[in-house]
Amino acid sequence: MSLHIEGITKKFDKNSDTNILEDINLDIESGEFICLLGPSGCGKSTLLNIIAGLVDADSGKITLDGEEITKPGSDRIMMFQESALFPWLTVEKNVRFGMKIAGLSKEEQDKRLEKYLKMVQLYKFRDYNIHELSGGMKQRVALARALCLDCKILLMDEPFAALDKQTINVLREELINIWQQTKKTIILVTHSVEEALFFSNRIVMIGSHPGKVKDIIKIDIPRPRHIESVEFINIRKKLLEALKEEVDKIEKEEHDS
Amino acid sequence: MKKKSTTVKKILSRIGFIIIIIALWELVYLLGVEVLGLWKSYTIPSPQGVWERCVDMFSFDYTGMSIYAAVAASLLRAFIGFAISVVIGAVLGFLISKFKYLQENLKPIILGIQTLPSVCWVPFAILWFGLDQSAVIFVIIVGSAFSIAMAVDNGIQNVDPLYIRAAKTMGVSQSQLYFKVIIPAAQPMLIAGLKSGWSFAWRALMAAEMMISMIGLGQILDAARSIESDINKVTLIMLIIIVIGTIIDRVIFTNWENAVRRRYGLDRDRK
Ligand SMILES: Nc1ncnc2c1ncn2[C@@H]1O[C@H](COP(=O)(O)OP(=O)(O)OP(=O)(O)O)[C@@H](O)[C@H]1O
Ligand SMILES: [Mg+2]
Repeated sequence: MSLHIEGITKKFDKNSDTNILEDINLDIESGEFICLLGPSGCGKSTLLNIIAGLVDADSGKITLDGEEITKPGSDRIMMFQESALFPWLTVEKNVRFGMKIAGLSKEEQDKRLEKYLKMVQLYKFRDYNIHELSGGMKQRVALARALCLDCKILLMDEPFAALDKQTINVLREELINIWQQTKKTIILVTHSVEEALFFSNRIVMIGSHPGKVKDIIKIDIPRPRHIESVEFINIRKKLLEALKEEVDKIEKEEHDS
Repeated sequence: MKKKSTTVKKILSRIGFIIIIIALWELVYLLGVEVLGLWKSYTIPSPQGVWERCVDMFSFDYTGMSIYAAVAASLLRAFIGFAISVVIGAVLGFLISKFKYLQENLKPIILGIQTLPSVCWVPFAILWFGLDQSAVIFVIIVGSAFSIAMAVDNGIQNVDPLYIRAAKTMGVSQSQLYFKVIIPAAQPMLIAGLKSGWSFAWRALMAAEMMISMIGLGQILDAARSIESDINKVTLIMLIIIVIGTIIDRVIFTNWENAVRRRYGLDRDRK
């Protein structure tokens, strides 16, 4: 699989003269773990939504294995900041939902249900209602629901943002393990430098006003990675500075206007 | 165990309260009618009189209009009218939620019409359908279909867009989106809509039966006043109307609503 993003430009307010996203170009290879990093409001979610097919770009195009993306499809599963699980279904039925839509056989559904719920360590909880789960458990169910579908790309929009630090650390480890096991391509949006460093093969820095690709940074640090290790310190400092520059830019614009 | 004893307590306290009300009622009646002679006895019902009428009407050798036939006739009409209202309300509500044009133009008109008490439709009903079943059912429908339509529209509009986006990325078709996501997501609101639709239907039915005289509780009520001048019977029928309305509201709709709200994690009194 390969994802090819070419000249994506988008603005919501037709009268505004700055674009939300401007001329985004990016190529993503199979099995890569890409993080989109940028300050709040720079258009990260918008870009992810365009890749998912939930939002149309004004110009430019995205192709997945040579085929242009025009609408949402189960080859690109999106995970949201809040779990987006369906409260009228149990854990098990939530996970089955996408598989039923995809028309998988009952046996195949059972097999994957067990495999992925076990992978996120929630098989015991399969008969629970959604409101009986903690925030972290909900995100893990959402992850299982996404993994069950043979998607080519997993799109994750700050999936851990609403969780506490301990839970985040556990889920990060789980996600990395799952990524290594399944070899899925993952694009993850974050505004945390640590998170980006922990996960990425490449970090795509997005600047704001307009949202442009500011820098693409290859991270060669071997895994398993430890946030505290020395290799991180320099690159982390550089990234934080770049991010701060963008945040300051937004503040200055806010101040001047 | 604790839960069980609190419900028993609740029921006992409610029965106690009803006994207090009846005792007060008896007291007011005795004072006002028999001791002080403030009111005529045929304008004020007494607990004893109502009870006697009750025993009388429910016994099988009662010679007047059968209360059993009346209840059955009223319920049948209510169910037919309500069922048609649900179908019309669902279709209308769906169309309004789907088309912006209807949303902007038809919805305000429906909201306007809804402020009209359904009994005001009786003249039209009689002109169009005559003194007939269908006239009564027509009044029920105009009384409840619009409120159901508004609830359906509201329910659909208020579905969290996040659910819709999540479903879309899993590749649902348009019809799957409605049947597997939007309707289930809106279910708590839809049930609340059915519940209020039912109460509108029941009220409209009574009003229509009183005016379009036809076997039913409304007719017995009206006849008890105009022909028999029997205030105890009037009161008894009113109580029966309350009891039936409440039973259906509680047993069917409130239970259903609570079960769904609990499953969705929406119940209000969760600790
Ligand atoms: N549906 C929409 N209609 C109008 N404007 C929108 C819409 N969605 C996003 N925007 C605007 O586009 C800009 C980018 O939004 P986006 O949600 O993509 O930011 P983000 O980078 O994901 O920010 P955050 O880190 O806070 O989630 C914001 O200025 C926002 O106001
Ligand atoms: Mg965002």
